[in-house]
Amino acid sequence: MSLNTEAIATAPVEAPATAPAVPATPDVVSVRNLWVRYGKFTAVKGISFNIPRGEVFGFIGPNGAGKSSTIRVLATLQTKFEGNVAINGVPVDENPDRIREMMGYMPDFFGVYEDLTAREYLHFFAAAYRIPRERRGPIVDDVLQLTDLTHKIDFQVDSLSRGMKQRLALARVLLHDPDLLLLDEPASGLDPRARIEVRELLKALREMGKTILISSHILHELAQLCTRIGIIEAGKIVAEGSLEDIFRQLALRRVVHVQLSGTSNGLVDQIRAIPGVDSLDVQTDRIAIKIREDELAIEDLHAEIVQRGGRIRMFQPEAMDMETAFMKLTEGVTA
Amino acid sequence: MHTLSLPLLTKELLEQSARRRTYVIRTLYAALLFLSALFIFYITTYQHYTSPLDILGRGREVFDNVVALQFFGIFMFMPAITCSVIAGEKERNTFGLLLLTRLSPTTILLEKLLSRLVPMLSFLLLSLPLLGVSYAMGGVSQGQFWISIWALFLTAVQVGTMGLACSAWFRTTVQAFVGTYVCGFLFYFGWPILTGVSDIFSALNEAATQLYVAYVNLFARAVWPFAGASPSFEIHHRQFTAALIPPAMLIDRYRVGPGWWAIPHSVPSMLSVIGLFVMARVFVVRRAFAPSRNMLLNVFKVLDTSFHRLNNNRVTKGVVLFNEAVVLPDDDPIAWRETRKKSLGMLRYLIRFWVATEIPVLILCCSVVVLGSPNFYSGASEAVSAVLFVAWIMAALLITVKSATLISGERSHETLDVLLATPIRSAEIVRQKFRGVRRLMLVLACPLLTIVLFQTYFRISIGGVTTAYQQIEFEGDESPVLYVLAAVSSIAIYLPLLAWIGFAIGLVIRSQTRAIFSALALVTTWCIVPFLLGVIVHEELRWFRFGDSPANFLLLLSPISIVAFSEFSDLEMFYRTPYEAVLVNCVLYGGLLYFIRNWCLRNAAAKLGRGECRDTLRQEQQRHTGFGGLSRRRGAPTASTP
Repeated sequence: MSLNTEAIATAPVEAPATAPAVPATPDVVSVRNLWVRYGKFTAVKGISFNIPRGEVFGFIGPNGAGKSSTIRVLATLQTKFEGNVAINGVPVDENPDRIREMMGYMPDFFGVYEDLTAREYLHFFAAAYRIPRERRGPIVDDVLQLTDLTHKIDFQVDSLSRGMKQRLALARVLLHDPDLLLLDEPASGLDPRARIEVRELLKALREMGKTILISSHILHELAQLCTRIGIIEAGKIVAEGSLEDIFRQLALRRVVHVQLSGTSNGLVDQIRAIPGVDSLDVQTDRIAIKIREDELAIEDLHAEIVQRGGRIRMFQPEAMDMETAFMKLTEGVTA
Repeated sequence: MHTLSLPLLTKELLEQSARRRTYVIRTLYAALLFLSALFIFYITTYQHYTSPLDILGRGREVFDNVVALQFFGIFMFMPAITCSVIAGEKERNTFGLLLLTRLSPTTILLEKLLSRLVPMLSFLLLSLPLLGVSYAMGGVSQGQFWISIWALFLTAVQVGTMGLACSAWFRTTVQAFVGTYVCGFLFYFGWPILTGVSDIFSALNEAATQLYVAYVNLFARAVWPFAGASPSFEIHHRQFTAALIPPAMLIDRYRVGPGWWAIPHSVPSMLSVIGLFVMARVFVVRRAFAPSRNMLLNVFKVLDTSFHRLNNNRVTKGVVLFNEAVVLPDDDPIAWRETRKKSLGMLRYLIRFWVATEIPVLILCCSVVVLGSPNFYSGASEAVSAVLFVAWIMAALLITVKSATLISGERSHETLDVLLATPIRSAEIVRQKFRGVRRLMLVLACPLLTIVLFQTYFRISIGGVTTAYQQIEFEGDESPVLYVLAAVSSIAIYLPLLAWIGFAIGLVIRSQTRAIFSALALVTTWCIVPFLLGVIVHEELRWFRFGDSPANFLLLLSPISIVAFSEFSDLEMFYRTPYEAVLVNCVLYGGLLYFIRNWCLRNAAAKLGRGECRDTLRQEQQRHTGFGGLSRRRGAPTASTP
């Protein structure tokens, strides 16, 4: 991993001269009952969520779930929507100009200005963000250092690898030191090395206190990065909260695989009768017991079976990771 | 058992049948064709002969003009619909997948060509009832009928194959589109133009001149249904013209023979089709994955290298007349990119472009001065007028295409969203985007103004020797002052107008290719249709006469009217009111320019799909009150924070 960690300390902490004063609201992003329609098609169906300051919010969902539409609303690029959407307390539909000063948007594609070098590209956007001319050079150097692209400064943007282009795009969104970063699938299409580099870069940004809304399909990476996640399917949020909250929520119906040596008569019925056991499925070599974890802890189930004379050969609670959670919560439908 | 399967053709035809525009265009085409035929019938036959017996035997004129209209349709539509067959697949990155199938490249090309020939042939089929009616009226032999059908078919195949070859060569649809028209123009008119140029320089060659006349006549027949072809021009060079160009088969003497006669005589045309198809076959694989390049920029870079090499000699020692330093963006980054990084925005390339366009114009004008061939009555040189029209067409094409791609290009390259997420206001984005176009307009205006200058000189110098009668007869409408007013005002208004029209279309239409096609189609239709209708109403129907009706001003609905009338000293059309006509034209198109420009600026945010505060937009409007669009001083703030 070649990320320049020294540069993180020297990241562009100076706010642009024109940056407006940001209200001290606890939530950087506030979305209430958001609906986005494209003609007869409804992409987002009344979703609500908040992102407190300094959090990394992972937006997970299958293709066509409404992630990009939601992010575009926050980026002021979707004018037709219903609901209340605000960044730092400023409504997106009422003051989009001010919103653009407060956020940095990285779309899920990376169109290049093939005629520019990396330096010109960043200076171009520094000028677009109205950073004073004398400060552009140091800021561009800083963000290039942060994204480890200093050695590519005079290369044509078109000639950079996809991973480098993504890092350059991240450098671009950092130019004006925004409060909120909207990153639409930043790791999509990258090779493992480039993906790790982007992930490390995002971790560094999180440590710098940036509030980040990131959408991705790479679920385990979000697990390492996000403090909170929202799972969206068919335009609706099906789960939202910290990773622990979601795991706990899913674990309420956890399946425990148990192998008993010689099931005595009536033991299966006795297990089924244990308070907190939701259902029981006798399979060829094991019993799959679905329990309500809020009523019956996994350890207690083990004790109850032993207490009823069961001799346990295998006791295996189903593992719960991000992908399992995602598969459990979503059904693969689109809006 | 082997069964014939044409999967690609089936897919293409299914796609076409699923599109609503297929039926809309077909219906419009049919409506226009039938209305035109009805009109032709009225002015050529019905107006003069009302008795059914008188009409008998007079179907020939209707027949000829319907066939001419169909030739026009082929030349207009076929390049447009074939240029995307392969280039479109390349743009969508689907051509590689197509090559991986069991379909051979030849089969792919054949099926693609057929998929475009089918709709064109359906257009041609629309005229069958009309041809049938004119045949029934009499005056058309069976041989003429079949030869015409064959010539139309062969022309469609020839133009389609040319489009196919260009589509296989070029990387993008737009390049293929331009390439097809340029190649077609050179194919049909290249030799006559060369001979025409030699004519201008008095290097007259009898055969070449006659060939030129034959071609011009042929072209006039194809594009102007009411121009009666004079057989005397064509007979001399029929063999040569018929060798490659199917419409030449329709020359009078040929059509006397039986229908089968056309087959052996069109062998050269068929060979040219085969040659074009072989070229397409060669290109289709070799250039299947050719990278997308800015061809113009590459040409300029090659020129850069050549000039650099030429410049490093003992005499000039690498002298640099104009040094365009590479600098980073200032406070207007979009304008910086448009004027520093785009091939048709960079000053040094524009200077080269200016030199390349200005020098031929100067040579031509000076040669006319030396040779002295201006028209005796008007004082204008017809050769210089022709060059003016060519310069106008080139300027209109370049400006329309460039401005149509300003926004649609950003969309196609997926760079627009990132730009819209910055705090630059939408109207400011539009203004900055226009800086490059403004430079291009200035460069393109130079040859136009040079020609106007020379034409004015010719008028003044000839005017000094005209007889008293001529001075009285043409007083007012022949005035050089009037000419300068008309010409300069049209240059000053039309160039920005074309730019804003192209921009408005690019703002509304999302695809770059469609934006270019739509802009060009709109501008062409707007220029030609009202003009032709106006002239037809004047010349053929005589609904109102020259010089005695305010209805003459209806001709100004076409922007080319004032240019054409002033160039050919036909401002007599507006008898006693030529100055008023120029004024009305200025007000009409100046107002339109103002309206379109303001519409673009006001609706930029909405059309770009971005939210923007309304109160600051009003302030923005107040800040930018300049008509030219760039009144803001460099360094001034680009937006205000509420």
